Amino acid sequence: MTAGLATDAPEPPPTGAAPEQVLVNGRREWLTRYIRRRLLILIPLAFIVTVAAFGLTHVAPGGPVAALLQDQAASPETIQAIKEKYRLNDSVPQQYWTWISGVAHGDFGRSIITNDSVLNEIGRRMDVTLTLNVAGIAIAILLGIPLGVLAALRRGRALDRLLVTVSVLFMSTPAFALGLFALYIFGFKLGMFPLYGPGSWVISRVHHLALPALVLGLHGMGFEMRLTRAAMLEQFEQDYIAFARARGLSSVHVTVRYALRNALIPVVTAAGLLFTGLLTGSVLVETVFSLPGLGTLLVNSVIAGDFPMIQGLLVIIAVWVILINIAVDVLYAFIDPRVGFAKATS
Amino acid sequence: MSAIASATPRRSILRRSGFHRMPSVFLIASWAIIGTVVFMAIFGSLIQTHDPAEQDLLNTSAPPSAEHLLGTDALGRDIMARIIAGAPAAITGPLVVAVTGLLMASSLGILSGYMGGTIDMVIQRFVDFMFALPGLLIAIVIVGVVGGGYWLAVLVLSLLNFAGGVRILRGASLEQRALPYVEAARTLGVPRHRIMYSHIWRNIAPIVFASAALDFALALVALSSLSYLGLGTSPGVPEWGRMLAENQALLFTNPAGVLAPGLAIVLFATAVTIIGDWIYDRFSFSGRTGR
Amino acid sequence: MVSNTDVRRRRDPARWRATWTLAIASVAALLLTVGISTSGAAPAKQARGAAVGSTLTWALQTNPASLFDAYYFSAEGSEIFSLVQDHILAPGTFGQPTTGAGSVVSTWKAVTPTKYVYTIKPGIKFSDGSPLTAADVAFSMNVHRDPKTGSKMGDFFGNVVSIANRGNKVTVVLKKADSNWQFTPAASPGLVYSQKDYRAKGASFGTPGGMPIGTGPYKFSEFTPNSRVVLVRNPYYKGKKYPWNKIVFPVIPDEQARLLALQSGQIDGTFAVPNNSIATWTKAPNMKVGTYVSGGWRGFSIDVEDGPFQDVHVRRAIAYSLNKPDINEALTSSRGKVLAGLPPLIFLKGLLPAAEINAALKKVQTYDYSVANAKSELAKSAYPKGFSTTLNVPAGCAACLLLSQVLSAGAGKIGININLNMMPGPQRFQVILDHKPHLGIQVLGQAPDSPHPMQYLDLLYTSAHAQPGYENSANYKNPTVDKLIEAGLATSDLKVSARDALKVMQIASNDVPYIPVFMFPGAWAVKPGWEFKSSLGPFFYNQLWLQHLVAK
Repeated sequence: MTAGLATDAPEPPPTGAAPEQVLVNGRREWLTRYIRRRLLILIPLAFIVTVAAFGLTHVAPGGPVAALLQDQAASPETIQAIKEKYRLNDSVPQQYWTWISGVAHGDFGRSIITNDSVLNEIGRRMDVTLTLNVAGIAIAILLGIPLGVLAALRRGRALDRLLVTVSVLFMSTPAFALGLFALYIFGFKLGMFPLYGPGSWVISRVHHLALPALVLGLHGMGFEMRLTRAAMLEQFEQDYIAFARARGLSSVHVTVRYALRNALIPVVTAAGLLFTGLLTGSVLVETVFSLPGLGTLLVNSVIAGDFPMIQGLLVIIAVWVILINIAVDVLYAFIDPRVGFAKATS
Repeated sequence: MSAIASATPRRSILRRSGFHRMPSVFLIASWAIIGTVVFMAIFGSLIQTHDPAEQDLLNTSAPPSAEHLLGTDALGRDIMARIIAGAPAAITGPLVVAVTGLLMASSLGILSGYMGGTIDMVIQRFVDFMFALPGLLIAIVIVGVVGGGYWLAVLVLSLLNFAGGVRILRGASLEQRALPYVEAARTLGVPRHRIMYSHIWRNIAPIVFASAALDFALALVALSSLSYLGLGTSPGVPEWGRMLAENQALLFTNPAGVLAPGLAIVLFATAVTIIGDWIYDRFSFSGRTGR
Repeated sequence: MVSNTDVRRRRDPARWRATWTLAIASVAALLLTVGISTSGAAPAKQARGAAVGSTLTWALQTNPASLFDAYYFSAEGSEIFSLVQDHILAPGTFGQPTTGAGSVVSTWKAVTPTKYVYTIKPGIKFSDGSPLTAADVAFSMNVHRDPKTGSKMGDFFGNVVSIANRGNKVTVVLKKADSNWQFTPAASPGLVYSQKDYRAKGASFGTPGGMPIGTGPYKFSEFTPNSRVVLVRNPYYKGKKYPWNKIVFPVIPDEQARLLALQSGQIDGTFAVPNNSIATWTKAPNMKVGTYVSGGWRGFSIDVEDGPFQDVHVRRAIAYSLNKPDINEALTSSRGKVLAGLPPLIFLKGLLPAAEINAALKKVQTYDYSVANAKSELAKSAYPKGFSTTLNVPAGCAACLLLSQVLSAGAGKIGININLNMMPGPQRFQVILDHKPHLGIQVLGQAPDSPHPMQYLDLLYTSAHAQPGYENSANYKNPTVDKLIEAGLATSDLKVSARDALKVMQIASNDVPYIPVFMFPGAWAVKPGWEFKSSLGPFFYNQLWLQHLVAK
């Protein structure tokens, strides 16, 4: 994610021809067609992901049987029995078919470690990861955007340099390092936050997740600050800002209103991509804070070789990422008034 | 960018702050850090007081002392020596990722920006897809399941992390394409690939390097995260991320074991990013004033 | 976008700055308020300590994969299950099968060397009020033998022909005489389940939606995977009443978090004290740490059929290059015990007089650390300058990692270059299971399943187990040793087994197919003022271990 040097628009506005007619209806219609088109791509993409996920766990050397045995020696009979139970004697395409037909019915199989249904396990952990990520993004945006604007306004001065360094610092600190440090200082030395676990709704949950969400959020804040600053600076170079100033709107704050509004378009849409970035970060943060989320599930499943779980997780994460991206694209197309005009008339 | 833009207050902001009058403290510090790490990587063996692999089983988890400046780890190895020995790994892996990213971003980005049309659309779609992929997550899964080690992790990250660079360079190439010199070159009959990869590239080189610097820093963090999770580096090899994981158990007996590699990663990544920013600000046209 | 009205609404720089600062400050304040207001409130609102009616909070390291031991075979699992389910026979401190508290059998005997009859105690009830019958006991063993269950404990019953019940008796028929069988009903496969309960819960047995019932002092009340397991009293239990109404097992995978939790009083204790952190935990204030004999071992196997390792001088050289006492100090703070060979002596001490054991030990070759001896030994081989090899280290095993690095450093000094290759656990175990050629050096660690002197030897030294699916990864095939092990297993007199085990130890010490390094200690950590009695032993997790806990 080399964001920050320039704005990262999922689709840059089409330059060139001014539309002959401005059709609001045409735009709405185009938008719906756009959404539908994007959603249709979801299906083949998801299919590719299932093949990739399945292939990875089954083609990788020695896995399923040893994973099932978990370092317990077993006689050939036991191994046969296990192979039959999990249909490991079928050919790989056949196994894939069994699995994928199950998936189509919403059955992702059972974890070989817990014997509990994969979906149940994921469902149980979903809310922790979701809460963590949403809170993290909220913090990243609420802190990152204002500070980025501030940095852009005070460009070149000491404050800007300080803020840029702070943002780079947070981007460069691995999430787990920050988490460890925070856990030690705030969890133990100051006793302000609990040391482990997700807590139960509502107050206790907030208490337990506050520190990890903060750690995650600060990490994301670094990115957001950079992004916002760069986007604002790019806006400042635009003609209309010069116009506004020339017309006497010398107040920096009025220009902030206009520059910010335009800068926010790519920034907010990039915030959607922040979701994916934070998903990775939450893997590490969850590990440090012993939170039972999807991140720790993924790492544990990978280390234990729990292939149904890995497959299921990969598919779910992939669908999630694709949906976020579609949402981001649609959001961008929606809020950028320039997008869709030329196409609306075609 | 129009002439009006060049008369914007931005120039006066720059002048007023004396931005280019004296190098900032951060800049000096960043160069110093990078210099130190490179020095450690090349001349490490000369300045180490201990062998980084030498175990002292009766003196494990010792706090900092005169003999061991940063104390010892779980097997009695000198942490300072291991930090120094970890410098090469902190440079080579991320460097490979950054250089690969640079090459791929340059070729694809300039191609996409200059040629436009279907090529642009295809590359754009592909890049959009790759951009959305959670690279580190995929690396975790692949390295964890296949069990490949450090270079597999480097390979996976190289392949997954170039998308952002392509976007940036595409944007920059689009800008360049509209400039007179490109038109002139075309009229003169300069072949396309020369225009793209000689002329345009030369003009956007600062952006390329700045982007590569950022890639480097992010790759460093990503690789150390992988090592932290236990995936990637071979056991026993001194690598900062792996040291963080190994020494986490010593957090209360010898915190230097965690602080040292942690700080090393943070400072080095930060320094490289700041330098990258500096390159962008100082050398590229869009970073400086208008033309 | 620019209009005249905007010109008039000029904002004050100070106000703008104030607004943003206020926004940021309020977010930060919100977070801090949440933190401070809900902190300090002691996480344990219920009465701590052993007062009647209180709650015991005991931390786990790993999330229980299932509440059914067929799917979750581990000491930590049994730690919980043994408080909910009785065993068929209850293990004593060193694993000897007894019929005391924790056992559902009143008497048992080996009618013939291949036929065992167990008489079930009358009047025992499950936590749902239903009576325990011999059918339940027979079922509890047969469920592991049934291939459809896919139980991880299937191999405990490899020698069993049939298990049937009649009246209040259960009869087990073996294929051949096996003095190891007597321990099985006292080990993990001996947990007693209700047949009716199993049939009713079907595929959800062991999951949060199908928590098994048992006849023990407690019953499952809640299972939130990755969060906690909660037990409450079993109202139908007639045995000794422990002080706690409720037992909560929180899952805390992170070692530091566990330590901090105990230190701050959020938990009462745990068994999950990693070996190489014993020193840290002992030094930490506000808790008490102790160790007990675990009977488990860590060390290496060397494939005697693989390349340079075929030469016994090479193997001996490697043995000489390991400084076992120092390793024991570094990896267990010297709470473990250096091993000269297998089995650990603790399994022989109860059977033979010390003098006899010591006399036998004199004939066991030890390879005390000496680089000079290692080099001279290597010089006698065909590889005086050394060679290179690779060792697969399983991911997720910190002790394996440390041990491998120590070996690599030691062997490196004599020219044997051991490359460490980190492998995902299942993959690495698959290599052992597949028993492909070139097993080279493997790093091993095992915990005992029974106190039988031949337990480890049978697993590791017999030729029959040097093939795919078994664990003789040293490919050790010695007919004399095979005979000794077979005799040791068949005899019903454990003294004979013990003597045979010592003989095997002597022979193996010359051949060096395995290098056992140390017997790792078990460790516990509890609140200050609490402690475990010394009667805590290798199989505590199959006992009602609360009986050993002295809580104030």
